[in-house]
Amino acid sequence: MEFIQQVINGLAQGGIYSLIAIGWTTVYGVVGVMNWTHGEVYMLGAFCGFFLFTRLHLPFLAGLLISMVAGSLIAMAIDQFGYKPLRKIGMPRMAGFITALGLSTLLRYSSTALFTPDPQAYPANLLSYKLLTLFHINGKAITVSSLHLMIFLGTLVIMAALELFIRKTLTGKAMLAASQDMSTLELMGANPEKLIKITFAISGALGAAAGVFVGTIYAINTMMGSLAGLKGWSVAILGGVGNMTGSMLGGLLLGIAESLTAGFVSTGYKDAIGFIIMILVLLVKPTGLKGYSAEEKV
Amino acid sequence: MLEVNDLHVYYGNIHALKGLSLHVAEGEIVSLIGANGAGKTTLLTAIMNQVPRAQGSVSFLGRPTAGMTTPMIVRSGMTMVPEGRRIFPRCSVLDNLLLGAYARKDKKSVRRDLEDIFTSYPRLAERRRQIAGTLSGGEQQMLSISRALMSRPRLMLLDEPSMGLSPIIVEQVFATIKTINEGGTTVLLVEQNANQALRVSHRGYVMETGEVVLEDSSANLMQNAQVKEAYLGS
Repeated sequence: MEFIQQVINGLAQGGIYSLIAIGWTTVYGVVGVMNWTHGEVYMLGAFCGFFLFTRLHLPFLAGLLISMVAGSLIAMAIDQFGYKPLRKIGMPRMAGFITALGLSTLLRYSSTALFTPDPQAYPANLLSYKLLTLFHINGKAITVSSLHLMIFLGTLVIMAALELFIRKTLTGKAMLAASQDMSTLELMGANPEKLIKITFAISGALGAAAGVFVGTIYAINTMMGSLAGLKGWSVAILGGVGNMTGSMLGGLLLGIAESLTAGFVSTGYKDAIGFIIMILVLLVKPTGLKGYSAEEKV
Repeated sequence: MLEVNDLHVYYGNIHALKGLSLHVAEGEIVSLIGANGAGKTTLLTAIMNQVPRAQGSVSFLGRPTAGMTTPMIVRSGMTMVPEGRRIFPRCSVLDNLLLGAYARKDKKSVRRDLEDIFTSYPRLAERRRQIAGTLSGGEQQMLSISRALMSRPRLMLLDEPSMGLSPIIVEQVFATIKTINEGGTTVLLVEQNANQALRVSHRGYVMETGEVVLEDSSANLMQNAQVKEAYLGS
């Protein structure tokens, strides 16, 4: 019973990990850069939500959507000033990576200077918090809080919308094709820079959404992007880099695993479990759960 | 239609194209034959502006293409079927074809062209929902050529369309190229399979280490002793 309860507890956090991981994996797939600033976009999204909710007293949905737009703009700006100049000179792999690390550090610490390192909390009445009984097993109630339920559903809606965009629109299909072979896609008349911008916009929106969702559960601070970014990347690897479905599954799996670890082992090991799983999966299946056979991007 | 003049391309220190010139007139099939490493693929990628040109000029439909990006060149009516087919292996056959028409705005005529392709190549129609990576080599080549057709090109460059295919399939591919040409598309065909290429084309160029060494009608080239010896294996 406890097991099922913990699984349910882990789903909301898992959905958030999925969102972060998809943001990682789409950019890596299309642009070929390990975008370490992604954790920072997530953090900035959370802070954007914080100001919208505490200063402007916006309702949750409005704040979420505006933060997502802000996340898109931030991610596009990061690309414009950080990666695009490198692409013009052929994007040396290591240079892209170092730029990403540098930008991430810059954003993290300038945010700390700007917002102070103190933890901040979203207004308590932002989303209703009621304990809902889902069902009974052997007379014991399995419950979920309305907050966690809404967050989990929210992440699912966003992922479904993205999936629809990728599968049904020509631009989405082009993004998928770009992650397989950008130079051939150019031969179809597609402008790579345009697709890259769209990819960063989507990635930023997902990262910011994840940040806002987290803010409704936990206090936020300017260092939060570091661990979340790392976990997002390991989920992306766990799911198979470049594969969205893999990232979705991987995120949920990590959320559940963390919840189980916290419930049955110790909360102290919670943050380690994701990396342990990642290492084990990579030992058995180096391409990740839903990965494609290794094809080095050139 | 296409004019290449004194084109030079370098890869680092390698002088891959050494002042190459050729021209393709509207309605023609022109073949370019030569051994591996002669610079044939380099020429096509340079025409599409996918590699930088060091010197020389390329003009298409009377307009110089210097400064145009690859997508701009495609939108102006020239496309390339790349070496090794390069279909999008994880997209469906249908999506591959739709992506071929990426630059086109006229949705209605895209639909019509799609139906035409499915009528001409029923194999692709049968497999339209299938993931393209699961097609056979010949089917992938047909898909790659059809995908290029979906951009409604006036000039199609083909890079080694016969590569890695069985003789029967090769026959089909060349027949398709001929049909495409009869439908009004001009073709520049790069091939190692000189025999087949010269048989379908009107004119031909022979390339060696970055330069054109021979140029003539395909019929004459097939009779040329040098060509026979080096490329036709007789």
